[in-house]
Amino acid sequence: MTSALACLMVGAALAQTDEQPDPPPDPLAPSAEVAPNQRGYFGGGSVPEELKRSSQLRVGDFALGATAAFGML
Amino acid sequence: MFLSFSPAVRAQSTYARHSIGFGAGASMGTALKDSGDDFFDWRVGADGRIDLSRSSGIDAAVGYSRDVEDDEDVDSEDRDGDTPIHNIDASLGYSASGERLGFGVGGSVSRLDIEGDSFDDRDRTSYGLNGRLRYKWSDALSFSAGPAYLRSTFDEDVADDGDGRDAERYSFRVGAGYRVSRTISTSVGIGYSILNFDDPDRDNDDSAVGSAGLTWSPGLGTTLDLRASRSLEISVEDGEDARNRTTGAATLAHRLKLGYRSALSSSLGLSATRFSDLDRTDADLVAGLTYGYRLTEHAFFTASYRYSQRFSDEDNADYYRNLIAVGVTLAY
Repeated sequence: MTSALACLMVGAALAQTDEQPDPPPDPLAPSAEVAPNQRGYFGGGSVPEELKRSSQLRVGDFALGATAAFGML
Repeated sequence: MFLSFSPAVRAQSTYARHSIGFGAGASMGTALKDSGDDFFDWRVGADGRIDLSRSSGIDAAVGYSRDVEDDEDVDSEDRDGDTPIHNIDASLGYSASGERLGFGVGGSVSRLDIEGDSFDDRDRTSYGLNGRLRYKWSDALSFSAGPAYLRSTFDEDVADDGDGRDAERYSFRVGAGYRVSRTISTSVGIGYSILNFDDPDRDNDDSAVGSAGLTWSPGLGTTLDLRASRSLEISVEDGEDARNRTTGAATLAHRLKLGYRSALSSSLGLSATRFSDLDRTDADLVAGLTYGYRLTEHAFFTASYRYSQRFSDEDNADYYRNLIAVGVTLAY
């Protein structure tokens, strides 16, 4: 549970970062267009899986997680 | 060069049964020395699951995102700066599974809205329905089959050449998944798609479709992923009846832990996509390297480099991009 939450937290913040290849072009978009959301400007860089550590704050029946990435690119 | 800040929050229920989660995130940046436009993208979403029994449940999700389309990425005379894109997605599904048989149905709706009247030809609403029957032959082998339906309606249905864009697609697929060994898993699916346009003057289309994949994880942090697929897509291109797309892709990833505090991850992806109706072929290369260092329990330093390049026989579709990023990520 805790490690899953940590993955969710980091993944939510950094889902668009550098480890994943760009998605294929939007099939509904004009042919000369680069699909939206491919800027790669999300976050200052992704945290390798090996370094992710579970940590959570519980409020009532909810576990809360937050990330903040500061970067220069 | 940009200074960027990307906060995100997530709340996940801890109920023994059922589940609900909320998430929100943003990414904002300031351009230094006129190197581009400032950006501010954000998204919110919620997802949940209601357990009806030990083996059946209802899943639902809804999300909204606000992105921008970089004016440098689109060849258009109507652009003056980045253009905001609004995207809403919602889905609802029911699934039930027994010891061997499983069953699922689902529906989804999405809305894409690009600001500005000149993009009404791309603004659209799509609805999807799908069903799936699954049979587990053994722990290593399972089969599935099911139909799918997709309908897209555009704000500006009639293209400049008089052709209507609104269309619906019917598909049926059968597939199998097989775990060859502890390190290799494979999947294959074949089917058929029929594409019908509302415009009676426009030719409909149909095609065999399919997909296949193989994942090899030999250990030591290495994963090789191979994919191939063929699909029939609804197209917004003027004068296009449909768009048959065939894609092959290979991704090699490696993760290396360098002691307790640092790690290095790398990936190399190659893919080729053929749009047969457009007589266009793209080849994409993406290579990335990320170094992470744990500063404290909750703070990480990261440095990454990504290179991406597209080769295409379509005019003005080639590009390459270098991205170097350094930063600190806080996670709680």
